[in-house]
Amino acid sequence: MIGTSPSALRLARRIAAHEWRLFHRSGLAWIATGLLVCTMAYGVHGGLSMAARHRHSLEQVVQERRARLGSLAAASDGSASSGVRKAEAMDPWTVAYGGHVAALPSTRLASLSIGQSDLLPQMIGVSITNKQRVPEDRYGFENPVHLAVRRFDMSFAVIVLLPLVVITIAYDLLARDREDGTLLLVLSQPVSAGTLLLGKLTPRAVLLAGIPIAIVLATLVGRAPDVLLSGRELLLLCVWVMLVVGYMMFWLGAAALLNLRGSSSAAIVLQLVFLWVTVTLLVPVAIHVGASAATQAPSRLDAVNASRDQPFEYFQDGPWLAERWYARDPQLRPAIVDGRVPPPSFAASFFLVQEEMDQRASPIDAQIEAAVARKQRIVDGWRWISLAILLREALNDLAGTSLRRHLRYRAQVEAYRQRWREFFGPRLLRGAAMTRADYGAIPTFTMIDEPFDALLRRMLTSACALWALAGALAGGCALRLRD
Amino acid sequence: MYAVRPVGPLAAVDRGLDRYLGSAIYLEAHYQNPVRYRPAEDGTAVDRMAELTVAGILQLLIPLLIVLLTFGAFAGEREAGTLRQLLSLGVPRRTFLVGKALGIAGVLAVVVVPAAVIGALALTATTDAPGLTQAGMRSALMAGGYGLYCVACVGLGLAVSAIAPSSRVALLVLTGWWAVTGFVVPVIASDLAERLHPTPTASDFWHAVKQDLDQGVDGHNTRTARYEAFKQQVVAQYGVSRVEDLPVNFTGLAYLESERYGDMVFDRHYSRLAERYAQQQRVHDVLAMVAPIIAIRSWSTAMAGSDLAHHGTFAQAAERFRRRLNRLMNEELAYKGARPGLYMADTSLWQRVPRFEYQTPDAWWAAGERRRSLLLLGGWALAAVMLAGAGVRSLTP
Repeated sequence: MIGTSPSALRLARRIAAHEWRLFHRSGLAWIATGLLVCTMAYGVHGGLSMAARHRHSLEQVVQERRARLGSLAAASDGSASSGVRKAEAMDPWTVAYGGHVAALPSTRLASLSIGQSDLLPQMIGVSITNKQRVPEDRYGFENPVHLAVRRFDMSFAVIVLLPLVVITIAYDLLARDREDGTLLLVLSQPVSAGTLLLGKLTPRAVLLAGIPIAIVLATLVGRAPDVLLSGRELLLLCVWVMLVVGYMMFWLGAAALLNLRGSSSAAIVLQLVFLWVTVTLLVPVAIHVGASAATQAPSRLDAVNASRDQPFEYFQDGPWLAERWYARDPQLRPAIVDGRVPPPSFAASFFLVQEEMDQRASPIDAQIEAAVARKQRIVDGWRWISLAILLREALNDLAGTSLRRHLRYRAQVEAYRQRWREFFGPRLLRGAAMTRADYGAIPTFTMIDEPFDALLRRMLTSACALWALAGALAGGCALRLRD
Repeated sequence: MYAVRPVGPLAAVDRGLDRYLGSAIYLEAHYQNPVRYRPAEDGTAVDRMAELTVAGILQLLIPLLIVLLTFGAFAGEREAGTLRQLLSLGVPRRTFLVGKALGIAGVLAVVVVPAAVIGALALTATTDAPGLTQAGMRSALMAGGYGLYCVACVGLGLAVSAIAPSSRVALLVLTGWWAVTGFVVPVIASDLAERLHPTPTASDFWHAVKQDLDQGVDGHNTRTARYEAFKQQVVAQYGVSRVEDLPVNFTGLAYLESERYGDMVFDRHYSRLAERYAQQQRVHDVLAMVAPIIAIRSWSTAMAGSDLAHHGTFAQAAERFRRRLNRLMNEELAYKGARPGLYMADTSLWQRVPRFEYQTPDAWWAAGERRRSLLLLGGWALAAVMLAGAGVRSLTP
């Protein structure tokens, strides 16, 4: 057992100091630690670059849109010369078709995990056209090779590299001494195996926990000091530390337990590598296969086909499509001229046809979105059996780069699209001119994030699970020591 | 109109970039669009962590098996004391090395050959006769690449086992090499390529396109100025003083001219993008010298027809079709729609609209495109075999 008396702790401290000296002399340990420092610093920098790239994109597009709307608004009442014809500015089609961009803002801790943000669109165009042909949605230039491999960020360094470094510097905690025959010699002295293990583990744990924390703090102080002044972000950073340290402790605990089982160092390396492959690859594969099989959904192309199954003819289909709007708001029905209801204009017919196309595709779109959400729920439910998934999901959550946040964003964009139609539909049907006041009333999009306490609770649950597993391994070590 | 990207029969073995390439291109007037609807966008973060196909197993798990089979090949014999006995029997060292390699190859064959036979049968059953020849050639070339990859891994494993002072060190070095080159270097390659040669953001790309369309590619030839110049040119060409007197529809001609200019702008920007991807690929190729998995991945994906090069040929075919279609429509309007009022085309126009047909390039084209990956794999195999030879020559009991 690990002694808790002052003398045992003093001894453990001396062993730790001795281990530290040995560590200094070990080339392999230096290489592994040096690599960890470099890769983590590089990872944080990668996250910062990606976050800056997203911010630049969003600002560029939002500013362009704002400037365009400003010019149109100014031209609509002729109050300023903005290079736009007044007739163009007064035509609701100009804005309704040109559309708008609903942006997903980066969070302030986005640099900690790129997550799905390199793959999923951070801007979605909203227009009166059907969803498949919104002009603002011409995104998608990221190199597919890079999307498939993913980007190098802090979460990759933590999830994939940190365990490898733990394996490198902790596989031979006791095994090497046992193989050299020095373990028996040491234990013949008045020192318990527990104290020896504690002394050996402590400097490694301090080093491995200190590196990521120091790198993240140094980066934030240097590049984004305002984050450290925000209570919410500080709280999230604390959870991040809990997650990373808990994950590291799990691997250190696994190495310690295997060392206590008396295996050879080669066998311990093999067992730890097998555990690493299982945690980071095999279990995620199993969950991926299971979740995919359980959530079969139509493809996006099915939605495209559904919206285009039956071709439309604007002048023939416009009148009957307009009836829905007239039924909802009789004031939109135009006055009878020469004994008949005048057909909607081309602009109004175009709007109505596009709306109908979206309605035809919407059941399939809804099925796809529901399947994606179900898949995410399955992953959430099974994440407990893979630490890598548990940590990946928690870090993406924390950085605001998760699929969960994107699903929420997509649902809000869908509601915004509807508001856009509700705003422009009546104006197009009436052929009403846009006034300056109308420009001021155009719906805007603001992303509403999940309540902070719900996010925090979910991340804390993940952190507690990691610590519980690490604690279970520590308990296993204690039992082994007692035996 | 949409052009839908086909998926080759070998996608069952290696899905490559399929999930990240997009499924279809929306073909419309005025704009050359990128491919949309990447299936990966409807996946979770776990999907990206764990896409293990047959190719993934061959690229990641077979090398791990090779590490386990090779780390003790010589170092284990030395620790057991049998190495001295074997060498004292006068067994030539090269024979010793070949024997070890053949033994490992036999174990690998037990794992790989049945899977390959099942795959070949499945391919035969699901592919039509004309496609089967190409699929067979692609499979053979793919298998050749994997053969070189395995030779490289076995050679390296045996070399490390021969050189390392103990089997423990050999295991540590080999598992470290496997983990770092299999999981870390490809991600670093992708990140480094992106940093050295950044892909333009969509907003930058479209901003630049819009700028060129509005202001002209030289920045001094606005859309309005181009329109006026073209109008003067057409009027002069037909010997009339006003566009209303033209025997053709000026709007149709203006569309043709606008599309011609737009095509030039899009060619300019998409070719820059393609060049950027090529620069990024060169970074991957350089890092393939450190991690052969990068080379085999490129080669395998190319043979499966799910790489960027195949994607490029599809996108180009779709774009040629789009331009042809635009031209057909605009010429119809220009030369048949001269009368005032709304012009409605008859069915003969739609009968002249061609079908979009795309033929996947043949296996040799794919091999030529990625010959650098094959050379890298060959280089790795040769270097590993030579290193193993040198290691066995210096083997001490």
